[in-house]
Amino acid sequence: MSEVLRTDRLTVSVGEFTLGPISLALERSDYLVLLGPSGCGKTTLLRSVAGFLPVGPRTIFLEGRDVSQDPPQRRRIGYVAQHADLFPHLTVAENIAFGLRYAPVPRDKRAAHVARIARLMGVDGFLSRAPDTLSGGEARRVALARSLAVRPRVLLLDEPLSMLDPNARAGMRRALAAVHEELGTATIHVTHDREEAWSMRSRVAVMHAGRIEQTGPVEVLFRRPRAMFVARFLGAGDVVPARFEQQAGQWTARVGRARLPVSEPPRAVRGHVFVRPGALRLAADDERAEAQGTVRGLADRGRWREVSVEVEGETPLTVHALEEEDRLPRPGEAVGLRVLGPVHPLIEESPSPEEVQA
Amino acid sequence: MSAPQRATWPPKAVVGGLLALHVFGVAVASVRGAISPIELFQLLLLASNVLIGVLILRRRVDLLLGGGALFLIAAHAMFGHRLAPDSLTSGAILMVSLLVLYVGVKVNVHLPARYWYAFVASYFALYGLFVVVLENAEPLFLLFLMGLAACARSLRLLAYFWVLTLSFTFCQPYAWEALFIGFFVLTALFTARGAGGARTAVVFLGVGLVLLFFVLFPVVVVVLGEDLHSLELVLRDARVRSAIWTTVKTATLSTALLVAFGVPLAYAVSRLRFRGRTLLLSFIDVPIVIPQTAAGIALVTVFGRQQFLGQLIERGLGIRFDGTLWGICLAQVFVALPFLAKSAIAAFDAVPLTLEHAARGLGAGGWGAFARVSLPLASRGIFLGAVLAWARAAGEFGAVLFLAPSPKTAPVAAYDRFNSVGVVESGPLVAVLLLFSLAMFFLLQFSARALPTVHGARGAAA
Repeated sequence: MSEVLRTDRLTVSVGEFTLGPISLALERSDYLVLLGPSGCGKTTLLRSVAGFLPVGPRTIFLEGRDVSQDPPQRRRIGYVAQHADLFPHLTVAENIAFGLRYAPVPRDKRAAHVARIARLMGVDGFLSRAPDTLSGGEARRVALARSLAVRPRVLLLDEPLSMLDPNARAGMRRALAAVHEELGTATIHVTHDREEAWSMRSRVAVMHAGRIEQTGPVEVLFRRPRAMFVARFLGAGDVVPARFEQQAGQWTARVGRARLPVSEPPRAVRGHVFVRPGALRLAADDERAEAQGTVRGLADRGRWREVSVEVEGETPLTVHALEEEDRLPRPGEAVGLRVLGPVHPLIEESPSPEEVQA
Repeated sequence: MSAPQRATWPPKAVVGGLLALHVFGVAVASVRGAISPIELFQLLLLASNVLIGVLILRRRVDLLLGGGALFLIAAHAMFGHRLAPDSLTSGAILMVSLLVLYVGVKVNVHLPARYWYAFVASYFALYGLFVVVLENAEPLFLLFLMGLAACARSLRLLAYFWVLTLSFTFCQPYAWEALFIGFFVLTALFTARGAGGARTAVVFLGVGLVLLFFVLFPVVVVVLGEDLHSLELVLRDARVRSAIWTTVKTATLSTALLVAFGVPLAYAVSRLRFRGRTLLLSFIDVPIVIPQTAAGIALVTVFGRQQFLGQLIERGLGIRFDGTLWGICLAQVFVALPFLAKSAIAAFDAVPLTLEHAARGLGAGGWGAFARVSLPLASRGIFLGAVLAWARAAGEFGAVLFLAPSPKTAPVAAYDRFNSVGVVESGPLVAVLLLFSLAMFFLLQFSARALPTVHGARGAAA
């Protein structure tokens, strides 16, 4: 079986905060980005998986074996904390080689192994330097190399790109991609930054208040969020209140006086819908408008312009207007809207673990 | 060129006028034969400085210097033969005069007014010191005037100059000691100020150094007070050598015992939270709180030959405490424990727990994380604690005296010596003991710099 890590209704309490229950599974060479706001329990999840927080029995499985009661050193999980936490009394090379004596690397192959990992992470240029002479990005890469050197079964990265300048960020992102390509270590990458989650182009799990709200490929999450929180947090479209009506077996959502098609049956007659900017466009003068609204604002995004349209007294919706095609309206002007795609009903409360998979 | 002149008080001219008045008075006294002819000569020298001080022409420095020098040389040619016993001395006096003239012009023209005030005030002080207080010290006056000329262009240098001057006049019996301490204090203050320290903090440093004086002065006096020959004699004394050897042996053994038990204790106290932890931390301090004599009597009460536990240990292990090396070690361990334990606890506290977590995440167990991460990173603190404990053990007197007055350790030997022969005769022995302790202490302190610290665990920049 290729499942490397599985948590089974994992629950952890730290003071007032309760994490979980969290059930997630990671296959070999999976790369999961765990995205959520500060304080949602991302680090707590990583630390309990790594073994630094006590958890209940039969909650964490590594390669099918229950490790929930094992101390960290017996789990072989590479946990890279947000701060590099390099050993200051050792050189970079000694830091990377620190765990090799505990790892399944033969004694005579250790030097070659360190060299390979160092080259992969781009730290081979300063192997003999002391940690306090490294920049933030360099230290972070050394810490990653140190964890990778022991051939962990799972790699847990806590905010690996945070607090780096843009160049160091780009370098670190390339290094992460290269390492994953080369070694294929199953990885959980924690971040609070949705741009970062987007840039990793992988599977994403969105966390909120100790729970996972939704997991799926990053494109799906951005285009089709299921939970209210996910839609709001990712911010890739508008979340507006709607009433749902059924006409001839077809569900529609009423936003203000506009009637918009929905992608799936709603759960209740009142709720919210997620409207992607591409779902609507401004109607040309000679076109039949399917909805009417008033322009509330314009935002120039460089490559395109966004027009915020208020649909008859309701929350403004955002419509993408492409510059070369559209006549740009002025704020206050009445415009017609054409519907290009359906809007998506959202789940109001946190979804059950079964509904988490997109 | 010349520094921008602010309105200063008192005005330069007034200071120059004071100088002129003094010179005039000296001249009158000299003509009446009341003072030595060298004073007359200084009169000429200072007259030129007065000229500069009162009639200063900012742009005519060369003229002033040249004119003043010519004036001096002419005066010297006329009166020099009357002032000095031979032509060599006379020439030297001329040189000094020219130097003082030159420096006076430079200071007056190029530096802020306070330099000129300091220069004039120093002149008066030197005059008062060597001509008025110490009579017939005119040659010394000339000599120190030369020093003044050399130092006049830096107020800091002038401060060092005055420490030197006062050390060798007022503090004559302790000249070198005073010089050492004075230079130490001045250097500390000046470098603190130079490194951008706030004025308040620098003043506080000065206040605090007063305390240091009381510590340092007796030590420096005793150490510098003995000549090498008497020290050598003491060192050849078999009793002294055996006392030192006993001290080294017992203090080292005590420190080893303290490290063996104290480091695990410190690690546990630093890493664990348990009921009674605060109480335990207080108990560690107990030996600092109680008088040494009380500690000694308490130890005798428990471990003495007549006591239950003392007898038990003697029968069971064959170890007797009173009057043996074991007894000395027991007393030393008792009094030195806090020094090691507190340093080691602080050292372990300074090692972030996240580093141990990192080690354990890499596969190291609890022992591996301790031995390969926490212990090396705490080693400097532990080592410094061990040095303090060693010094404390080696210097312990009260507790040792009660439990094991013999074999004699160095402090006990010094006490005996003082009781039998008095303060003067025990000087060389005390000097040897002090030198030995200080040498060990500083050697160990400085070697600690080779050990690692926790700095830089998170990279230079976040």
